[in-house]
Amino acid sequence: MTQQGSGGRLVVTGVRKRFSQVVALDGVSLDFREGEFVTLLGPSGCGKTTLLRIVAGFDWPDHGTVVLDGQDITRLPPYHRPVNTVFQKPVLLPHLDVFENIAFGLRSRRMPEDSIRKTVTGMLEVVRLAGYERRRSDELSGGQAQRVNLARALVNQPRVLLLDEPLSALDLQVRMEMQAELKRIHRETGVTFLYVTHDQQEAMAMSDRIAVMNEGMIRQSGTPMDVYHAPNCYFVASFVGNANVLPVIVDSDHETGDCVRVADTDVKVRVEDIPEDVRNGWISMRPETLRLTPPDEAGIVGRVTDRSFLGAHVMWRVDVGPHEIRVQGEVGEDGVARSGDLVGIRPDPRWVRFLRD
Amino acid sequence: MGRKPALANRILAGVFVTAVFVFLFAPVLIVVVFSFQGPPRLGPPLEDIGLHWYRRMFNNTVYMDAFRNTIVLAAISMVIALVLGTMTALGLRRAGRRLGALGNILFFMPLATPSLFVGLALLAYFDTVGVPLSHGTVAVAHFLWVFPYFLIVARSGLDRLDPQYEEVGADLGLAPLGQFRRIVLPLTFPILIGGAVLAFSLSTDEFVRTLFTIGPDSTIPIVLWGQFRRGSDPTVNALATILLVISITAAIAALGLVGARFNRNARTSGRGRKGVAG
Ligand SMILES: Nc1ncnc2c1ncn2[C@@H]1O[C@H](COP(=O)(O)OP(=O)(O)OP(=O)(O)O)[C@@H](O)[C@H]1O
Ligand SMILES: [Mg+2]
Repeated sequence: MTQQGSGGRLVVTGVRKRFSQVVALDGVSLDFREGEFVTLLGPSGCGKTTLLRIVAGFDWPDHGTVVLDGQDITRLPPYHRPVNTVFQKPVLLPHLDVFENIAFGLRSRRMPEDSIRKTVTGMLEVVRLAGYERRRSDELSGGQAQRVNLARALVNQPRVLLLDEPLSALDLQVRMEMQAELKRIHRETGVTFLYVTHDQQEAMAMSDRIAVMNEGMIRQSGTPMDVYHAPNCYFVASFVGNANVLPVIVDSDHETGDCVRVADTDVKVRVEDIPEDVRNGWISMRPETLRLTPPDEAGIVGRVTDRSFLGAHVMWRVDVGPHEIRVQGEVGEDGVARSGDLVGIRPDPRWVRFLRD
Repeated sequence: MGRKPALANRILAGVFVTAVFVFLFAPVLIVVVFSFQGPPRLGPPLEDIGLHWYRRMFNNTVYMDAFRNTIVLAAISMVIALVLGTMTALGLRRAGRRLGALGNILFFMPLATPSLFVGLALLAYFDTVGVPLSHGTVAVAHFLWVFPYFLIVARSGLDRLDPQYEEVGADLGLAPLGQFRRIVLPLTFPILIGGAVLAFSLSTDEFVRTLFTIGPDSTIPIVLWGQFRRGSDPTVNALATILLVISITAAIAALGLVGARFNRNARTSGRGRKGVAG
């Protein structure tokens, strides 16, 4: 089943789509390398499914193009696209058993019977469902049904596989298992994956690249590392992970390096790379890049309002003027400060980001 | 939930249900039972049990012609309703909400129109356009009669079918016709068959419209009516019993098909299609 480099190069350019009142996509462009695993991450209603359906061919965009391996497929019906979809709810065809569900696409392309048998059997191995051929769709667990769904799409050797929150209906245990499985299958088949989720953990764990969406636009597209540590705007910083995002005013004198003042406080924070001519914006600091210190040893001072134990970590909430800053520490550090204590917070300048909007 | 109903309640319920069944089935039973008796009466006392009247019925060319006409007419109107009704239901499913509502009103209006009026209107219409009454005209009348019923049944089945199934088909390489043949039809045919059986049986005992549009021929209801006006004998009981057997067999077969499919779908949708709209 290994077919290295069979992934397609998908280029989505300037796609807009509106449904009567709602602008679902407001100019989306995204460029996929062959065999790349790209995840669309964003809150509910931001247009992820709409974009997926446009690539699949179920909907047409009002503007913009979808090009696959140099061919414009914007107006091509779904049944002529070398693209397959794994639907969110596993829509197995209830009148067919597992084998026939998986064979469905091959039959509609009139593959000879013995090749169908061979291909489907091979695919059942890939998704680890050998022996389930004759089960009906109501005799499968959620995870198994989703594997059939996956096999049914992959068996057609699509150049792009679209997956719309394929794991969201599964419980945690099965979800983790299926994440690993999907990564393995992606690696082994080399198909380009366009994956939709609103679970950031999942996006981080699986993707080569994450495109963070909001209100019909892609706000940032980059490696999980980039998106997490170098957010480019307020939305990405606050949506991905659990960053502290504070409004700041840029100091007029830059002599001591780029310095900003947190709005409505005297707190000054050192930031690198503030663009010229920008007067105010935001800074983003991840809780795990901050350290608690005694109050006289750091520039940021505040009072602890809450300390919670999160298993592997401890999380403090600290009031600094009108703002709240969350600081994460290792277990064992939990004695450092308790609710009501006055503490200092020391940011690591390497991990402080300035955001202009 | 609540406690077990008190004994008195249960007895009352039992009596009530029994009464309903007696009320429903006693007349049917009377017809069936007295079709086997010897003397030329419609009712008791039951004497000389045998197939006398059945033999007479099968030897009577008027009855047999009417019987054949009835079946052919029912078959024709059923098939046309099946084809056109399925197409209409598919179309209305795709139509927007407003168009769908308009379709409902237009297609279901005939149900609320009095048969007498429709019969008269058809007669006047055929006369105006100069078509002589024949098998054709009565077939048109029957089609118009059974079509809305078939459509109601077909729509109830097709509207409930999640459009995502067709998207799965399209995704897996099927053009719309293939989606219909390999997905829509297998998932809804029991309901369509059920609608067709309903159409068939509605046609077999239609009377008023038939009377107006059939011309010189007859169907079973027309013959029965004529027979009763001249005084009746148990041949009509025999005839009615045969019709009853045919329609019960058809209905049971249809129910079996539909029921089996419904149960399976219900089980599937319980798990796989959680939170599906529409
Ligand atoms: N067929 C439709 N008709 C009208 N509005 C639609 C339709 N499909 C989507 N929308 C609207 O377009 C917007 C984007 O919807 P979309 O389904 O793409 O969101 P999503 O990112 O997939 O959300 P979720 O995470 O909840 O699945 C929403 O505001 C939605 O209400
Ligand atoms: Mg969605």
